[in-house]
Amino acid sequence: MSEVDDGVAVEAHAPVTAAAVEALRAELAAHGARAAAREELIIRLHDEVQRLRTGERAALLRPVIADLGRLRNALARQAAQAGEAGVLFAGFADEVGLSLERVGASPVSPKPGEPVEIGAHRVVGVVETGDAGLDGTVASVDADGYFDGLAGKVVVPALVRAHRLKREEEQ
Amino acid sequence: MSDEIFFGVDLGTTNSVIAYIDQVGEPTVVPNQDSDGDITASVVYIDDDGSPVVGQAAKDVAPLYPDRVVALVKREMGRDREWAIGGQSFTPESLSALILRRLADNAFAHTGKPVGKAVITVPAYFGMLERGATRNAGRIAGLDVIGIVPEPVAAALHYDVVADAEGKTILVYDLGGGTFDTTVIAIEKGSIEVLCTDGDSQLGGVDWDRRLADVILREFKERVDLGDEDPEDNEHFMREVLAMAEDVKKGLSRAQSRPVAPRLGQTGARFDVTREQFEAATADLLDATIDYTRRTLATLAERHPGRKVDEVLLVGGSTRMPAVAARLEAELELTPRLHDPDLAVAKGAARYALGQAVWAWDGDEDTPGEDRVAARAEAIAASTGIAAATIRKIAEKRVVTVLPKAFGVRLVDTSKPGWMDDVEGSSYIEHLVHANDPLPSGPHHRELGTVVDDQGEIEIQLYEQSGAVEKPELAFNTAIDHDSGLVSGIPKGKAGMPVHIDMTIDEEGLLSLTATEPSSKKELTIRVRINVLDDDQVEAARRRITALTVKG
Repeated sequence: MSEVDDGVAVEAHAPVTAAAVEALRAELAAHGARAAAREELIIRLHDEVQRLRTGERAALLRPVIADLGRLRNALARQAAQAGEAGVLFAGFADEVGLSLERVGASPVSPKPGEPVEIGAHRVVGVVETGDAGLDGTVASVDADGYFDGLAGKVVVPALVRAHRLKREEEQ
Repeated sequence: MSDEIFFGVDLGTTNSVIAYIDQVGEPTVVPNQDSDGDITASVVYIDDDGSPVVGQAAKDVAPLYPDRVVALVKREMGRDREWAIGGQSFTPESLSALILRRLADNAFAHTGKPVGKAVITVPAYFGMLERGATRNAGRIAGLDVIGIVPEPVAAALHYDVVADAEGKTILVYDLGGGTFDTTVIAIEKGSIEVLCTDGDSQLGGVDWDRRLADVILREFKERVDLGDEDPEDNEHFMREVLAMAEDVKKGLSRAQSRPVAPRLGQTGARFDVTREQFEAATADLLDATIDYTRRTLATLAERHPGRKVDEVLLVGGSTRMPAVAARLEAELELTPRLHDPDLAVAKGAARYALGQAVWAWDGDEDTPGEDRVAARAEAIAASTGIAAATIRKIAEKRVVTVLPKAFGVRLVDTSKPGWMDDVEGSSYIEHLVHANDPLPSGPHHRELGTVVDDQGEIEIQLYEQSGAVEKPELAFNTAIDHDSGLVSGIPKGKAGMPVHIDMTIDEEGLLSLTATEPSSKKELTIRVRINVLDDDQVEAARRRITALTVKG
């Protein structure tokens, strides 16, 4: 290149060098753009892996939460009916509750009078009421539901009986 | 950048599924973000303020808000029905569009790309109005519906029985959650035809669950002493037994017996339910499906003498019960194929969508040439990121569906004495196109004439065959035009002035009609609409529905 030539030659080559630099700059810019695109792809793929990982864990845990939840509900029901042995059943129910907590799940236990929440409650029966204020609220709870903290959603809805306003012609 | 994705939607009566062809070229089902698994309940709830919820959450509040929850919308497709909920009015098309929107939103969350091109499946028995309504539901949901395909055809595509299967006859046995269909399809050079179909819209897997629940209940009652208490009065117990039955049914597909432990208050029992018990309790249900299958085969023998079934495909989750395959094998002496029965239709529809795009053709010849197909495959490879070779393999064979039912116009037999006093009784249907005509079809030409002097208008009434067999009598046909059907502007003259009618049916079985006056070649105004909703109504509904956020 020009460094090994004499000084006169360097001056004569100047426009050629400028063009070469320009070409290099353009090529670098293209490389830069491609690298940015790759970067973007890597970030997107990483996000996707994370999403899949969480999704997969949530999918694996979902039946466990549902089954443990069912067991906890059954034990709690026995506890309420079993007289003296009820304390034992309640203890077992608490233990299952703790297991659920360890996998990031918590019970959904609506209180009577709370509004029925779509997606979190399953209405298994209706109780007619004359009180318009009670319409669409929980009358009683048949079984707790469960919220999966990892997935951020209710995976088992609570089974509730809901108040429904009696229509005038029915009253 | 690969941005284009081809989707297939199984828009079902009770559940719906959406699938797409991924970058490896495999059909992939979009998981439902809101609940367990791949399916979305086809149930819509409309809130007080008009905002919609689709899926299991909607189903869960149905007992509380029976007036605001709509299920089984598919049964109303093609009918002029309206629901007024939350201060708004909904048609079967717009409610189906809400389900499609929810599926599309889930797909967007899963793939990161909006749903554009999609194929929607319909039952083989759906006629033109129902297909048109399904297509409009897609349009209202903001989708680019590139095809409507019969469910058994989509299933056959998934089972990959289409390639190199010329001349093959396939029986598709589809036992879903609430419906049963059996369909015979024929794979011919360049097309897949639905030869005949039969079924029961009230028979499905849920009936098997109820029978198994009865078995569990009977065994429980025999084992425990309940005194005067009738367990059937206890709603909670009965619900648990039914849920138990659903689980046990699935278990009995893999094992010979399953333990169950029903509990009622302080009383509990533990016993095994065997596959033998289950099959004995449900034998008549299976028999019913076999009767339908036999009837379908009898229709096949009658209409296509000499045709024998070469393959049996099982579709629908309930076909996992071993008794189904065993019974069909004994009946037909063929080993039924069972693969992905819940998702086969959606996956096949996604394959069909990609194939449609490769074969899309508006040239003069019947089919595009080799070069054109190769070029399309390359173009789609560039836009989807799927290898061109994979695309060509999926689209190896062009799938052309056929017209499900015959179509025609109502004519008056003026040779019949006294026809003027009894126009109705002197009318008959002349079918211009027939069931199983490959699509697209036409133009079919017909020359009509005026029947009285100076008749300036002709009323055209379009009819679709309503029974299994094409017959000219009015009673065996259904009127399908939702407009006046009036051809106007006919020059005055003696009776017998000619009017030419041309009928064309596109690839999805949708019909268009033109009328011309032959001497002037002038196109006459014709008011015909083979859709419950007209284009303006669809557009208005699209604007309304796509502006809503559909929750799950």
